[in-house]
Amino acid sequence: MEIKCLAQGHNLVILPRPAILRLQSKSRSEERGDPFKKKVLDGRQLALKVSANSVYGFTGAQVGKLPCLAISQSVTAFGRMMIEKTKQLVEGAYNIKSGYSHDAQVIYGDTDSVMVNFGVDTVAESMKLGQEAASNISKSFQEPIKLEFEKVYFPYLLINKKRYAGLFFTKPDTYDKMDCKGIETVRRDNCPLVSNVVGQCLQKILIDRDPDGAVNYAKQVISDILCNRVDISQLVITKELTKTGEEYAGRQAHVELAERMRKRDAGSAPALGDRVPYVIIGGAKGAATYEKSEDPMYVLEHSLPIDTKYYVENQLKGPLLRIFDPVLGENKAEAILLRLPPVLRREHTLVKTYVAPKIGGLTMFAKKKKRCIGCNAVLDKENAAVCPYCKTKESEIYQKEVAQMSALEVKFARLWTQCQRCQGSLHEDILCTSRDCPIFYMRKKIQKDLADKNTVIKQFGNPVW
Amino acid sequence: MGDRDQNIQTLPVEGTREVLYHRDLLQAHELKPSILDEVSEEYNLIPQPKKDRYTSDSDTLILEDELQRITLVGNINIQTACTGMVVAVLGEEKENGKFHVEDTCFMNLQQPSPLPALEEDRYIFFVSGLGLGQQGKNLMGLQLLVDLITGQLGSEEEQKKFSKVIRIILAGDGLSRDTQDTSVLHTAKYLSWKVQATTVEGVKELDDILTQLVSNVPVDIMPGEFDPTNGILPQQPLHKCMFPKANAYPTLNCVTNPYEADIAGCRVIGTSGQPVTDIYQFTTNEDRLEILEETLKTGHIAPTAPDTLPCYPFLKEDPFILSEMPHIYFAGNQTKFQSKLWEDESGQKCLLLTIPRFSQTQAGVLLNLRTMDATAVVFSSEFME
Repeated sequence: MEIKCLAQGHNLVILPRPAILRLQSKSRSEERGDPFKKKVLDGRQLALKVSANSVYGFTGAQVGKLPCLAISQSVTAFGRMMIEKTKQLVEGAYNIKSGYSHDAQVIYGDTDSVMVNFGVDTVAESMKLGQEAASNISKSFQEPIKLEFEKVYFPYLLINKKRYAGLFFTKPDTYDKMDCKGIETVRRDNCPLVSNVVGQCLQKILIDRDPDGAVNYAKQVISDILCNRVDISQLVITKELTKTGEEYAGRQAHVELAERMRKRDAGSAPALGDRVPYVIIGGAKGAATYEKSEDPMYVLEHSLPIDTKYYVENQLKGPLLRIFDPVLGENKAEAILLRLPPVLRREHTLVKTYVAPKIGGLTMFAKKKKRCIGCNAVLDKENAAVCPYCKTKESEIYQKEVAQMSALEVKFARLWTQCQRCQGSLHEDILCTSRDCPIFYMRKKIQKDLADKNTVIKQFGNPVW
Repeated sequence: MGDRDQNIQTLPVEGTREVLYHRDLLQAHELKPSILDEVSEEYNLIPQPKKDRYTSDSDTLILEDELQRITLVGNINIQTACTGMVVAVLGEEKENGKFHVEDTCFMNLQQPSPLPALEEDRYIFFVSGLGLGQQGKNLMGLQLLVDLITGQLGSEEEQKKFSKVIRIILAGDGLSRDTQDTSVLHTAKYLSWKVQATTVEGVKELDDILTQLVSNVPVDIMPGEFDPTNGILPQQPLHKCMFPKANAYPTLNCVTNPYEADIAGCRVIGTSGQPVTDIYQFTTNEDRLEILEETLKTGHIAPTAPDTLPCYPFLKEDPFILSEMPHIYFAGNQTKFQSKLWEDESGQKCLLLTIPRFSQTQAGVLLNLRTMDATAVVFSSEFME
């Protein structure tokens, strides 16, 4: 429900005008049969909404063009007052005493909207009550203020102020969409993994009504991260480089990385105003996060290990706990998700995989020796694939490796031809360097994985014919 | 796609009415499954519908060279042409920017060396899609096949006939689809450490069958879509380490897919069927023999590679281009046996064969090299009660 909060009295000229125009435009857009005209009018009323909102907005911004706190404060005050009034009216009218099956309860209100829990069982019933209440209450407001029925949320997950999610109904039978406000699905400053996982979990909770499924899914993802099975494109965080390093007050991951990249190769380093993509890689214990940022391409090329702990603790944990806490109960979510009773919360219980980096540390002094593909024993001979013990099982070991290679190859072929299709030429090399493409890093990764697998297969010797 | 057409030039003649282009075709499919959608599917959204065929009425045909693309309309069948065909089109560009085709033509293949005249009958036996490693599979038909070839079954006449089989070609898919493990890339290594590859049982059975065959006749075994070798074309031969028993015989030839051989002076070229099946999925052409014929006409074994058919990224050349006309051209793993003696304008002949899947039809194909007669041999294992 929404109350059009128009403070008659202030800004008499500016404020009401867009709002009235909007109302006109809105009612006209509902009349029109032509879908194109309807869209135009709809766009128009949305534009007017933005104008009206921004009038309120700039008066409230203290460093804006036309700050006048009195105006914005009185707008919010009126809004709050009207919410209060609505609350009294709704809770006074819709209760068991007046013959309804439940006591209505206002559960949430913000600036210009109130959410009422009517306690009825079906969407259709609550929709009817909502519409009825809206028109009744509108009568007690001064013109042109109107309390409008907007939507029914069912189910509704209210996390805290300004954060909620629910299935959005405007017609009784089917939901229009899953609506998320202030939750990580829509924010851009996290890595894509976070919004995908949170979105997926919400979908499981709200649409499939399967909280256990959501928990299992979240657990699976956490295990995937710890075992390096998540595609790197999911872990890339992007931030815009607005100022040079000296101008920033604190040290920040993307600024540090840009600086480091400039030292490596000044030509390809991000310039001021570019968006810098980075991932957090494993580093010395206790190293600050900003020291551990790295260019995703560089990470792929040198197979640097990802800081899996950072992604679980600093990226995923918060958002996941926020949505699971109300579902599973306070403080329980963490224990359930991270699979451990609180006493046992030690690192070694989570299975992890480490990637052997190709640069840095002691790697330059290390000498590589061939190992048996079957049992990892060090091989004496240079040209063998398996040790004498595994020789009898060579066929099986080979089949296992070749099955993986075959799967990789098919994926590789599909990824690269997709890029050919996208760029619209089958003859040109693939030029695309869009780092926002979901398969950009995947393409590189699979190329490397395939090359690695190929060397393994080669150890068995070329098939002769 | 490589430079398969270096020797042909585009003639962008402005002002003249007729323009000749000679380049690759590209079929644009609305329904083509895209990995982009699949990636987004991993992170929710709508699942893609699984389909047998991906054609629709809104498909368009585009001609492309290194510089440009143009949409084709007019005298060309959009639904049966496929991506990757090298074609010359005659026509003109109209105001709407589309190219109106009047006529099309394809590359001519070189004459093969003439077939040697054989004095007596010599046979090649083709079989494909044995489909081993399938749960609850009746292997009776397969055993009949082995017994017939090894001369332990059949009338005297039949035995005589099968003693003249000089080569068996196993055209792919010795293993069944059931042996495919789709979760390979998704399971953690520590979980799959002790798990066997799903193909192991099937390969053992295949080794046994092969051992019986190779002790009698030379066998060329081609890999197919579900066999344990690399998954993209051209497929490398199956590794001999998987056949410890059959490997003892020099008559076991693990060969590539596509495969080319010279058998008694006869040039044989064929695939395990992936190119034909792929074209079938992306065109409205129902007849698989016709599809095979089309690929011969256009001189390209696998036109849709690498677009819809996974293929190794060749930079300089396209190995699937036919330069010379084969005497026998076959595709394995098709729905039924069909054959046709194809003849082009200059009178060159080529025998086209589609080899049925043995696991579904219990049939192989016996080809007489002297008369170029191909017949299906069906091994029915149903007993009368």
